[in-house]
Amino acid sequence: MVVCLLILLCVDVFFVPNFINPFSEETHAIPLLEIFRLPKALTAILTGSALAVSGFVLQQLFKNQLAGPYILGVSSGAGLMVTFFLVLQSFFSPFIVQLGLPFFGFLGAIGVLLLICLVSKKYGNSNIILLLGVVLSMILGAVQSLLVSLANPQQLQSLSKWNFGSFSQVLGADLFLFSILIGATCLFMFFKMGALSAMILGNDVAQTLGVHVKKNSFYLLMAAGLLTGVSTAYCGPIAFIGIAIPNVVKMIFKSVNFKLIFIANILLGASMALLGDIVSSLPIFNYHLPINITTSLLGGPIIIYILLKNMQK
Amino acid sequence: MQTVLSISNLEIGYSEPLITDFSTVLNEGGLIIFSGANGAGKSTLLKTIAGILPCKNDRILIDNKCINQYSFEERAQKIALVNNARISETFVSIRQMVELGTYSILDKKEKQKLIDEALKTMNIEYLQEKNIHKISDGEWQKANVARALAQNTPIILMDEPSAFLDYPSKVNLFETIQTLSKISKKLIIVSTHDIEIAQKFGTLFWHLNNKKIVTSERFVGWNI
Repeated sequence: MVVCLLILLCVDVFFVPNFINPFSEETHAIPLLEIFRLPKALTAILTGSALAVSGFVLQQLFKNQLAGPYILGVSSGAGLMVTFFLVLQSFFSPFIVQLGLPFFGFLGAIGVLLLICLVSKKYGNSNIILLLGVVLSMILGAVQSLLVSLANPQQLQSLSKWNFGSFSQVLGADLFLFSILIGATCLFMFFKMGALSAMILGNDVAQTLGVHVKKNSFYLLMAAGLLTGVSTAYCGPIAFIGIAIPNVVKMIFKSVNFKLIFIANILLGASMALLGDIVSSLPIFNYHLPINITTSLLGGPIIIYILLKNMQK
Repeated sequence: MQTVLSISNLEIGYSEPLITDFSTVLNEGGLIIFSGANGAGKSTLLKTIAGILPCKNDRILIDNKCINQYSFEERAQKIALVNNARISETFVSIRQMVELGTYSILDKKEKQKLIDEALKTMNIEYLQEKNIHKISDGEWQKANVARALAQNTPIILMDEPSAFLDYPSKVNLFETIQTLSKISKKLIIVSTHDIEIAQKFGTLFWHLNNKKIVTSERFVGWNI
């Protein structure tokens, strides 16, 4: 898996022919291929790992293998807050704008997660949260469209660019902040994996095994919200990585050693994001495909397979 | 014989009390059969003793120390819980499930030793690589008890372990539980509705009726 990730990284950075990207203002950087592509590849790796890991944690916490940041409406929550922020950003100073983007993304993601948490606590049925997530996505999407319709043409351009999902927008100080946030959160989560694996046995038994179930669930939920919120804020809502990758990893490893599963999620999530990025920039089309299209085409079939497999049981 | 668990003037319940004024002293190696109607509060009592539900200070003592004074990690070395919560994870094998029971044990060699012993005691070594969704309910319950055994605690609480089992499996389960309490000197409290079978094995009987628990050496509940 490490090898696979490295190969994809090299392919992405060195071999993919660079096409003029209509969504990017950075086109003047074409002669500096590697300088421009390395941040893009790094963004893809960070986003892919963040989404896969938060999908995995959400699936475990809600005990539902179809849960994920996108289907639960967490991405939409982050999206709404980011849109809100982008529409209003002319009121803020540039420094606040830099910090505000991930912060608003986090707020939106956490808002939706807490709401879903409340419902799942009250009703206990893990399928209702999926339906709730889908409906929430629609409502939040509608509010977001309303906000977009209020935006001026210049904002509109940056909003639609963001909404398609792209790894090429994160540069310089943004990329630095992005790496720190994702890296630190993943490291924090990694040390909670033992507790998360014991929670397979149910919360009561986990507690008698010495796990602080409530505390750990809360921390993990916040961390998953942070990962989704921040990566959505920087790269737009990206579908299917968060739901497909954790399922594929479990199919491969079949292990209760969640530290191993966690690392595999990071590697495979990053690889899928890079692969998506490579496919997006293949010279089949005469412009750069939005990343969301490729991840959906790659991840969708996996989910259908899992659904059908579940139906057979 | 050493006193392991003592309970004094315990009152439990949510908005209104389920069990009032319960006191008892339990020694190692005891097998307590706990009966009572559905919803009377058997599970609530077991969860309170396990430290999952809160209770007032100095009502429940383990090794002469109030359970509220134990940290989560310390309590995990004293009490194990067996319940009927199923695992939704599709890939877990019996050995992996038992391994999860050793969460509080840090030493890796010790872990493997405890897992092997637990599987051997429950006589399910030959099943250890099997998926927990592809075994019978009786085998699953044995694995569940093995998981609690691997935790290596002096006290094991079991909440209706014999529910959902067929008759021979029930008898077999109680025989195994009796062996555990006699040979391993564990204190085991089992809540059950299978009184006809369990009364042959218990050393002490609790019967919960009308918010009171009656303790006796022979089964006296259900006077109908």
